[in-house]
Amino acid sequence: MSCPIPHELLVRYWADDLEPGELDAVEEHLFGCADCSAASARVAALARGIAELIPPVVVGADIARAEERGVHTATNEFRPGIAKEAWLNPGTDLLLHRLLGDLEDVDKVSVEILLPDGSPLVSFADVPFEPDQGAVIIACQRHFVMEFSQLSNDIDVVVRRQLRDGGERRDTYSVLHRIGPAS
Amino acid sequence: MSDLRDVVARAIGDGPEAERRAAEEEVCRRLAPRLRLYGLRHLRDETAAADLVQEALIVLIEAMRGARIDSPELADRYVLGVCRNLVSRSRRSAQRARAFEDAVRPLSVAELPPAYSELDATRLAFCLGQLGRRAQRVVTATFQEDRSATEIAAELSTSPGNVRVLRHRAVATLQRCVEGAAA
Repeated sequence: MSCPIPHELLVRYWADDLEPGELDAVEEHLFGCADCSAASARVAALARGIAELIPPVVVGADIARAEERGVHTATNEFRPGIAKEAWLNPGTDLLLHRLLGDLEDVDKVSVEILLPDGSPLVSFADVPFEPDQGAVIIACQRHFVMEFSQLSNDIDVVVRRQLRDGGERRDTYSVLHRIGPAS
Repeated sequence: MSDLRDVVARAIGDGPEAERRAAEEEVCRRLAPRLRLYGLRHLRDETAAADLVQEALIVLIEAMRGARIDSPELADRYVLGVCRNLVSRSRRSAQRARAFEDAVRPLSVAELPPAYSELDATRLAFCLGQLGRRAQRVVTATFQEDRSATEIAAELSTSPGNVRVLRHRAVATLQRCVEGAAA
């Protein structure tokens, strides 16, 4: 399969970032070309998926957008080294784990999620954060929790804060997922 | 598989009626995914896009039967023009739909394959988390917040051109990550 329209142009098409003349030319081609139509559909799928996605690590604006869409959230705060339960009760779509810690003078944050035996589940090297929030926020969606439950209800989240002066702080938070209703 | 133009040629040709009707149905089947993508791109709504598919195909069949498409090469451009008019006017023609609904009935939009495959949301969230913070911000600002390259550039203190480069690379990376998992 070969589409003569550059991928970059298809991304701009779905980002609504083409001049009128470019838009007309791209659409005329798309209507006549099965290969480019298929390539366009792949970009469309991604754009649509991103539009509806709640990122795994969120900031306030992400949460507000999700709540505007009717997503029901439940927030729990976690401190380093203290294991705590987070209940996914009926009617809750999204658990927000606020991992408390000083974010002033922090340049970059990375997050690693581990199983209780220490084996890595997933890691994110450069996550969004808001220094004035005093917490890195993990968005744990219902289907994530259900997937975690297949492996373990409990996870450790390692947060590494890279400081502007070159230093690093590392904290581990233990999240014990529980599927409700809470007793 | 024959080219769309060959199928249009059969639909507007001098063959037996049954053959022409079968060719019409095939034309609809070929064009529907492209129409649907166009509708999603411009109307950003599944139901409205499905309506557009139905209406545009009705107009096309009407034109083919009315001998207003005398060259098969013009069919895709003709239907693109129809789509543009339908979107810009955003109006529905119930009378025309009634007159030609039998022709389109064999092609129920609900029975069509989706315009694109739904992505695995868990996988997409994981892949998004693998992007750097800036790239992640560019794709979410683009596809969740409908922000222009210029607006995003101002937020990130960079140029619109750089935003486009970041966005294109991020989308390509996400496609590889998501589709690699599905392969």
